Amino acid sequence: MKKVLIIDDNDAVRSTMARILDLAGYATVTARDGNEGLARMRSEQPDLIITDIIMPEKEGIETIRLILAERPDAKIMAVSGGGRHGTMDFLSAARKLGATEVLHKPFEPDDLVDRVARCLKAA
Amino acid sequence: MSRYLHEEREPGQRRRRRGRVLGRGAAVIAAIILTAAANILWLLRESAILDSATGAAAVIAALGLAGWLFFRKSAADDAAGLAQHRAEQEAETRRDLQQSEARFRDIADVAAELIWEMDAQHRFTSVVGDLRNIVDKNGTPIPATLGKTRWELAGADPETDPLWRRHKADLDAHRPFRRFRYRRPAPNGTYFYFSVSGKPVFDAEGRFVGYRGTASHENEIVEAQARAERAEALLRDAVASVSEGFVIYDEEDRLFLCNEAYLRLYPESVTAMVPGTRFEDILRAGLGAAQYPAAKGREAEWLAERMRRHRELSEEHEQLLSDGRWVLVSERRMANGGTAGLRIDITALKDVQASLRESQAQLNEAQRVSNTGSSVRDFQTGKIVWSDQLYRIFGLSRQGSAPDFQTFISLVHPEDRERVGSTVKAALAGKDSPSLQYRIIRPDGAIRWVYREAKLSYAADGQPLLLTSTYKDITEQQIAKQRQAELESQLRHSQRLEALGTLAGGIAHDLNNTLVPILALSTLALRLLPADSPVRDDLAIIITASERARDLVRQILAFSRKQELDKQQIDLRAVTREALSMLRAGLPTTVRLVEHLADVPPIFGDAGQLQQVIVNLVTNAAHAIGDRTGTITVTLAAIAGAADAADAKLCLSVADTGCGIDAQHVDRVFEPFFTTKPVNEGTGLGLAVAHGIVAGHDGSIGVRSEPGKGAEFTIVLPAMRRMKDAAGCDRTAA
Repeated sequence: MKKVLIIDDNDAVRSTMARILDLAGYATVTARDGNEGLARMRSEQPDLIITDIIMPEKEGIETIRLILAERPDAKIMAVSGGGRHGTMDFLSAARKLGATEVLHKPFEPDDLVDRVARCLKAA
Repeated sequence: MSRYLHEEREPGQRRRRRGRVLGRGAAVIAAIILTAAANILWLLRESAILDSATGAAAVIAALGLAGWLFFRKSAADDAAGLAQHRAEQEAETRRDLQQSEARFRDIADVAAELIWEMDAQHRFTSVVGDLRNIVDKNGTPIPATLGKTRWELAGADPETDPLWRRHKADLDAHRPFRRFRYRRPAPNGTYFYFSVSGKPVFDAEGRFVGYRGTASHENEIVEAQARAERAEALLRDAVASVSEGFVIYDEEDRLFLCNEAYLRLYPESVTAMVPGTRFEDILRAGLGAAQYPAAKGREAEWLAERMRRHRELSEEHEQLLSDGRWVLVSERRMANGGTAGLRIDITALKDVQASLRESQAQLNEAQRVSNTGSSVRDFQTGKIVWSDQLYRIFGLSRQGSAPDFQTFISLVHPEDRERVGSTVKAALAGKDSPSLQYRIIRPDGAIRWVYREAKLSYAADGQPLLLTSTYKDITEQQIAKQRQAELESQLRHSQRLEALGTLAGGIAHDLNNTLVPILALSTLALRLLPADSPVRDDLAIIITASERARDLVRQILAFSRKQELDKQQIDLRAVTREALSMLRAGLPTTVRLVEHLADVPPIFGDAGQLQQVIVNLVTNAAHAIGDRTGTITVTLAAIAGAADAADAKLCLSVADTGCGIDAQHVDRVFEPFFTTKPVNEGTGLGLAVAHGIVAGHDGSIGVRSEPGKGAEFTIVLPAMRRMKDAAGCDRTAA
């Protein structure tokens, strides 16, 4: 069973994504910010990391950078509901940093499941 | 005349001489007549008055005089008397003599001369001739003359007066004398002037008996001479006192006279300026001394030209001298063929002219630099003068246009004409007028903005004298001002959008997070419910509502440009065609959709977002047409770049034949939540979204509308530039 780490500061979003992926047959672990996510990554060794971008403590872009610094082959999916800030385009930046997939919030459950499957397949 | 002709002789002397003539022979008489004639001729020739014109008359006069003298002399010499038998011949001779005497009187009368005799003591014994002036200083007439010496008559003393001493010495020595000039007091403090010639007379035995001679009145000559001397002195004084250089060249073009000022003007050639020197030689001397800067290197040519002017006296001309002075040369021909020349030092004038020209040039330059023209109207003459720059501002040529009100007002923009015309007319009527700002249309059609200020100046009596107006071309400032106003408006607009965007971005983030569980869990729950569950419909409504909320958030992000764009190289024609095929299905049959899609260069953009724009515009157009029949025309074309091909742009327009947009709404159509549609028929975000997306593509969107006839939305997007956009990808694209 593939393991997916979900990092999101929003409790409802985090649990919703976990619920969808549980139903789709994935093992899920969650973290509420980047620091916690990095710790979980080390302890849980997930196959895929889904991270929100705008978060307190350690936000997504920085998190992606640190994940890839530790595990250059890590599969990452960036999720955002925030759009752009100034000239900053978070999802574009995430993709450029090495995220395998990006996803806009809100999303259909099938969208999430499809993209997770695609990420894991793209080895 | 005859009343002036007298013979004066003392009565006793006459009788004695008459007696003597009777005792003389005919041969003696003839010899004496000849001698006397010769004497008279000599006297007359010696006389200063006798000239060639009166020569013949003088000879006749001499003969007549000789006859008369013979009569008297023979009477004096023949005291004993001649034989009685010769009385007949004597009587005949006397008649002849009387006739001769009569002739002489006539001639002496005409000759207007005096003939005199003096005795051995130099006292006058006889004076005959024109005796008009022979009065003494008291006006006493002639008898006073006889028995007196000449110096007594002149009131002079030969003992003390050298002139008279010499004259008396001549007489005492019995020497003949010629043209002895003297004066005699006359009434009123004036003098009689005489020129006297005389010869001693000796009797048959050689004894000195006195003098005989002529005298001529010299008053007129002396007066004429005095007048001539006065005139010449006056001329010289006048010439010398002329502050300008004055010169006279004679008929042979030789220097006759010049004044000091003339010499001072030409110091280099002053040594040549000696009376008698030819003008040309004086010029050559000046050329040799490099007196004329204009002649440098072309002396011969200059000399020829100068001589030509001198000969033709055609016109006044200016001459530069080596010391930097300017001279105005003016020459005139005189009646005698000579040349009178005037040299006026116009250096100061030239300096003033030069500084005037300089300040005029500076004024022109200042007007040019400041782009300010001016006009001056003289109320007394009605004359109007426009400056060069004013002609330039008006786009007129000085030759082609009269500087008058008609020319001016025809240039003024028709919309401004009444306002300008009334103000300018008030100024022309002598009333102060406020400053004005208005448009003019140049003959070439260019519209210029002009700022005019006018100032009246008044004469002492309060009448308007001059109207001075300045015209500043403020077109550039005006354009800049308009541009600034536009920019400010755009800035305000974009600031408003930016604020909205920031707000929207913040709300969107939270809303999207909030929607995640609602949308996802509702969907999951719906799947998990049995098909006949009564809750399914409720969940379906929740899902639909959440989807609307999601779309709304997206649109807000789109118009506020907080939306993420996924840009790549795209063919806008293909993108448009796809969007239109999707739209066509949804349009009512009353609406005709026409495509004019040209082949265009690729752009760098987000296909999905641009399709959204097209969808929004076409949907809007369809709403504008409504239930009526209408056409929507979508046109795509490339616009060649202004600078080069790399600067190319694409133009996509959507035109409809719908209701159009009211003028007061046109400026607001791109504002978010602005809508003219009824409530529930539109969100008011469609055009705002389109605007945001286009702006996110560095493009622009505009609208043109004629209410009741339709509207046309035009989008201009930059074409992709290969080199630049390779770098641009990193900056703007995902």
